[in-house]
Amino acid sequence: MPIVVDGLDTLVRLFVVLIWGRDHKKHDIPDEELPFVTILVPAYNEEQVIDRCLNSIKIQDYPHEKLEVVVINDGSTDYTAERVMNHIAGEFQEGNGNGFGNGYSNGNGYGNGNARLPNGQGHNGNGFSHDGGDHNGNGNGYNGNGDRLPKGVYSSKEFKNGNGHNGNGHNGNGYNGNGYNGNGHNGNGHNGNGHNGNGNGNGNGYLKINGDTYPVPPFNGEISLISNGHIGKPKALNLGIKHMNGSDIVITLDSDVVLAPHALRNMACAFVENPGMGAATGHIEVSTDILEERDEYGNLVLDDEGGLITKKLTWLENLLARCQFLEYLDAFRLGRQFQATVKSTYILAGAFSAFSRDVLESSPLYRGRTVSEDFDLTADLHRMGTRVGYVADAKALLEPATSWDGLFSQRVRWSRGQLEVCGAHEDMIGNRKYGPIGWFGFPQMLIIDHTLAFPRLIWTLLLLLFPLFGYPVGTVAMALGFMYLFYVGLCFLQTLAAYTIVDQDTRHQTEQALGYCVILPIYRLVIFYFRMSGYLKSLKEPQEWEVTGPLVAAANGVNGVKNGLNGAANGFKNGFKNGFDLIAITRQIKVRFAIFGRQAYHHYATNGGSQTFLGRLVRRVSMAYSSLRDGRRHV
Amino acid sequence: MNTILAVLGVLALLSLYIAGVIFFKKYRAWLAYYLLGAFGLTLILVFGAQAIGLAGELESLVTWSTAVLASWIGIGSKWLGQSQFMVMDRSGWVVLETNIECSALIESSILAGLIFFYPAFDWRQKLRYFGIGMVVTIAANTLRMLIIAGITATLGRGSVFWGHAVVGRLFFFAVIIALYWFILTRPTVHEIAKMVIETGD
Repeated sequence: MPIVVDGLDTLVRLFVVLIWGRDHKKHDIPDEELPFVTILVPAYNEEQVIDRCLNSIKIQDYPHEKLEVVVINDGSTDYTAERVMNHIAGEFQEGNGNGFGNGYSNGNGYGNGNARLPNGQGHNGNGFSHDGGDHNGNGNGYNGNGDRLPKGVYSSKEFKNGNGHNGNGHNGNGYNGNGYNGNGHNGNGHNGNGHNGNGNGNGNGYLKINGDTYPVPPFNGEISLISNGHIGKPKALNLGIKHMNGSDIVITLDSDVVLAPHALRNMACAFVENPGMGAATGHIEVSTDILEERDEYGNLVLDDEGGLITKKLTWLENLLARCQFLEYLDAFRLGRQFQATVKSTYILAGAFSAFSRDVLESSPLYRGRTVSEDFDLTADLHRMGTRVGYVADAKALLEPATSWDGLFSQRVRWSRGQLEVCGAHEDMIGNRKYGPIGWFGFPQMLIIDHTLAFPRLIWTLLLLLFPLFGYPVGTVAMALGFMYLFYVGLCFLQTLAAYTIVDQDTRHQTEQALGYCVILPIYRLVIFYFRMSGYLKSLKEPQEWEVTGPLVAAANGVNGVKNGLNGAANGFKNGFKNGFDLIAITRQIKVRFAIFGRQAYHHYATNGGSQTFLGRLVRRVSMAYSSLRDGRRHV
Repeated sequence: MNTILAVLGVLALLSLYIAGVIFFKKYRAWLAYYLLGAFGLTLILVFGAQAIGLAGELESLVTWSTAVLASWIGIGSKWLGQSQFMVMDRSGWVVLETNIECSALIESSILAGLIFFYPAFDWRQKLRYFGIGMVVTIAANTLRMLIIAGITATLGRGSVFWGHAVVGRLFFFAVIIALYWFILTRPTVHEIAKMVIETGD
């Protein structure tokens, strides 16, 4: 019977979306009428992806002078902050690359200054690299003087035109060595160290999206970094909101996300064209194309022309990636579109969402009481009567989770967050006072995700045992087969419906993933159990961002059993060894007695004083022992 | 000999089941605990009821009550004993038989499994929700049977299949989902709400 609900749910969504959701309005608002936008990027240990995210902002066709980027470093223990400083303190022409600048090949390490100076001539960035040494610098640590980037607020406004903010910088020669571009336009020469610079970090300042390569242009907007201790994502975002300058639209962007070209313009235009809209989620799409090949040190691996190489996935990683692509396509292009049309969008995706500044500042902002701060804020906005939308052509690309354990952790967190937010907003559930989200959105979500999970949990297994209740095996097999085909058919229907309303890039990805509809029901069944696990954990376990996956837990369990068995085996071995040692000791005692006996015999039997009772006794015992000994193996 | 082996086998399985439930609970593997506990209890109740003849009695009870209630509301009906009853349609009599699926045994057992192993509830809540659940399940099942009888009486014997497989099943499923909403989902949300308030901002 859950298939009836699933089928009806799909049909209703398709109907609503295909009739009312085909929004192909062309955005033709001139640059001067576009609003000012602040993009908040919280980051915690994202050194491998932050460059990619910031570069995807730089390639947007949005007037840079109307953009402000605020990165909130949430106490990262890696070099996230330092990588962001490269974007703040330097301008990167084509071929210079960001990030590691001269990188490992020239031994200049993370090199904020040396990104634009050849071969470690500055004091900056000489450390950390494996090839450090004297030739390429001093190996003195990140900034030449060994200190990490101190906590504080840094802005690109301070690093301009020559000597910049500190002339010689924070740590001696600081971030820029000799100013914004080091010693010249791009350091020493046109592109730093040669035609295409030195290769690492951002792969020479290019970004690859869906097979197309985009050169990263200079950025004329403002980038700021708030480098802080670890306070958690909600508080980090709130800190960013406090620091932002005057803007009309505030966008939150996860640091592992890549904005598709035109995403910012499309999102901003949606707000201009729909003045009543207070917040909107973008379209999140899973993409394997943004996965970058890296070496064992975490550096980018580049091709002969200095271009990025897309990471090759194993068959399992590819399978998970394609299934997630289909999942997100349905969840966003159909699901969010449906919700927006019936005015019950219940989650503004934390990965990429936008808010009218006024609306955001009048809300309670992000709260840390649940693990889904984005969902919690969305519910708060609904309480305020805010209209929440979905902008289908504001697209952001997300890396897929490529392991079952990673997926498990993610889905457990989502399930937990869902229940926690529903708990925090319990009064909204079924309450008409809050509009469609109250009487329809929340109940529909809970019934489909939570209530129906209980019969699904049991009936999925019980159906297999129906032959024991007298039903023919063939009938049961046919019923199961029919159900499986039904869900495969649903998947094809959803995917093909989405195909008709997505852009060309997404269509290409959809064509590649369409065949995976055949196994999607199995994938969804596994995800169902993951989510069920999340619901149960939220009742009994404390909040955790990362959760141990089932495979890791099973491996730990197996290792535990192995260790236990090894311990037992060692115990037995030692026990046996000790036992044999005991036998050996016993033999030694016998030998001693034998020697004593012989000595005693010799004394009493041969020394003449042996006619006493004791002497005769010793002689007799000795003789008896000797005869016994002679008849056995010699000790 | 076979009986002894069967009994030993059942005892062994029961021991494994209990050991498994205790093990998973101790090591906080909640999904495994809940799945094994709930599914296992469902099977124990269903097969146990069949083994002691309770399943048959239940089918008879459901059939008898359906026949009686159908007569009360003007549907020509007669209980034939055991799990069979007749319904009068326009052309004559149709004999309907209740089997395990329509006796509410499976749904009641599932309810017991889901409630008694659900980690959100203490024992008082488990007993309360199970009691409410049993009443609603039995009532819904009886109503389902009445609907089937009514459709058969009105539209004839040809409608038995879709009356049972579609209409009756849809009705029963809708009631069960509503039941689970009130005794599982809403209380869960309430329990989580208490935890979130304690956590604070």
